[in-house]
Amino acid sequence: MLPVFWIAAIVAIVSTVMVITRANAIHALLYLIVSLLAVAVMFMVLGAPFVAMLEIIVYAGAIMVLFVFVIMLLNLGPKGVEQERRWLKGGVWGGPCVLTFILLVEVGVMLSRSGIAESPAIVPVPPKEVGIALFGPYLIGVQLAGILLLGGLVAAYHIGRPEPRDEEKPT
Amino acid sequence: MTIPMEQGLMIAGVLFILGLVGLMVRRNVVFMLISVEIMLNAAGLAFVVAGARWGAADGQVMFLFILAMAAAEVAVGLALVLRIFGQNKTLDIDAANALASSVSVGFQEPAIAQAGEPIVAPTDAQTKSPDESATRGETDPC
Amino acid sequence: MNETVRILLCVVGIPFIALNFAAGLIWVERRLLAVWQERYGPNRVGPFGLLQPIADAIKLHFKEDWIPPFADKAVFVIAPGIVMATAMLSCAVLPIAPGIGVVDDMNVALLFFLAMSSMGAYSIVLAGWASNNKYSLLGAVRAAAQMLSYEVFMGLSLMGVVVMAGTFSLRGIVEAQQDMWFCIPQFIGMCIFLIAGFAETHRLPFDLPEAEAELVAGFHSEYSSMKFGMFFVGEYIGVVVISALMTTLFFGGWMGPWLPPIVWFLLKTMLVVFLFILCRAALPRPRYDQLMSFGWKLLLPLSLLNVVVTGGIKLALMEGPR
Repeated sequence: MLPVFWIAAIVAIVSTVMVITRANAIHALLYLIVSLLAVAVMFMVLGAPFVAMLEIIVYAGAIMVLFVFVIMLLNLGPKGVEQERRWLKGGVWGGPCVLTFILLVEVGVMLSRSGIAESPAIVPVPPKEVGIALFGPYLIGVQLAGILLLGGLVAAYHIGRPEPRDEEKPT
Repeated sequence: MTIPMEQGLMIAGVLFILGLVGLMVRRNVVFMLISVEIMLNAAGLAFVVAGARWGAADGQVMFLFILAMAAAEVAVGLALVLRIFGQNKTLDIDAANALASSVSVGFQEPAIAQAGEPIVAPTDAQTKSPDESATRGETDPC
Repeated sequence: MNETVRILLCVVGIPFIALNFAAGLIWVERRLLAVWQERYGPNRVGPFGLLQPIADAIKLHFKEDWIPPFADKAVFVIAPGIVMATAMLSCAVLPIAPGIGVVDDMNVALLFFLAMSSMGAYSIVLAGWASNNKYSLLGAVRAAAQMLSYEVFMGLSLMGVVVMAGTFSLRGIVEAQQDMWFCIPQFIGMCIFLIAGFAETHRLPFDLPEAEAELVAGFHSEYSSMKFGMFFVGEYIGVVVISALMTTLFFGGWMGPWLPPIVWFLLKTMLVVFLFILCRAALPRPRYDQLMSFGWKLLLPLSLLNVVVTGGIKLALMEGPR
């Protein structure tokens, strides 16, 4: 199973690189979906089938559809892609890449020196156990998540409402 | 088969940093939101890897919370994107600076605007597209 | 040795059967629609027109495979592949009979089906977007909103079954229906699942993404040849999978007296497929805003209520201390 893990990891990283370098928003989103599916495969290997499925259903299946929906509503067309390409040109990549690479090296050094090498064998955690943990010790978290989602719902409705003044104005 | 703990965390780190680079490089609001999603997902991967190390469900529970948070964040974020596009007619995040002191046209008090103008104005003038700066005068800055 | 042969047969045979079943369904649907609309339907090719699907397939293969010059080529080509891939993948978790099934016992099989059906939405959305055509884009926007909404109710309507069976595994759910089929205690859930199934497969009462009268076939206006055929067959596999899942979740799967299990499974699945076709023949298409408000204002509260009531009863009937 470990080769599966590595293949999925490479797919995830390569497709994520493609996401941040694409000029066309829909292409970027497609690569991001591939990346999310690869991460779901990694979850599967790590013995977490429940979150692997939720990653596909919620992340790749719902959140990304929402992105695609909004991009289709905006309908920028080739003009938007051209503008994006102009923005991505030149030296914008230099600084962020160097700085974040330094951070990555630091994380790598710290991970390699932390001495967590002796890992046990993978024990799959079935969905039932996750549910019991979720509604047992983490119940307050579930309630907070519910409140957060309600807040998000109200906020999205309020912000997304068309402004009546804009329609009356002759433009 | 043992858990690839260090490697898993490293992959999460790489994904997170790719998201961070995307967030810093991009000027399009939609792409910035996408980069934030990449970072959230990387954090979730780290949680699940760590949870698998102890064979416990806690990592997965944390991932579920991240999932709920990401869903709420995207709903509000995309509504804001639509609003920004409706007001500025562009997705350029630099154009959404109505609260910066340099943009004085929409405000009532010119005194506040003058204070910060010399510092920010030159860079601001470049980023604004002509049609967008023309419409700014009519729209409410809220 | 015997075990290997069984697995090979399942892995090769089930997709093969599913594909042919879907192709045959095209004939079945046209004949049945003809019966209900008092006309003949296809009856020229072979006995009773039985060879009509083969004739259709040959015709589709020999049509020009045209990619519009204004389309986004890569996405345009990928989109019909997604619908086939996701539809076939959801066949993988169906428990057809004891010992017959591609993935024998997956403990998140039900979630896998939901995941695949949510991935299937992309094929339509991307097809409409890549066609770069006004009507296709409208169809795609409709499809995105419709499928995103109805996925919610589909998932929630199944949660009652999950609560009663105590597992996400489809085999476990079938075995939990030993005493009583879930269509009786989960009647509301079944109705919501059926309606959401119509919306997910965008079949006629809810075929607004392709509404030929207003959107010129919507998302697949620009598709021709076998790319169109893949959408077509993908839709029918979707119908078969939803029907098989209805059978598994609410009608006791392979269980039944006298006949062998696989026969029972196929019989029940066919009956649900006939229901799909009957609904197509009988029901008019709603307006888009009616579809949305019906979903969010009626189905969502109902499915939530269903989950709450089922959970409450299960908790009340639970024996012993927790």
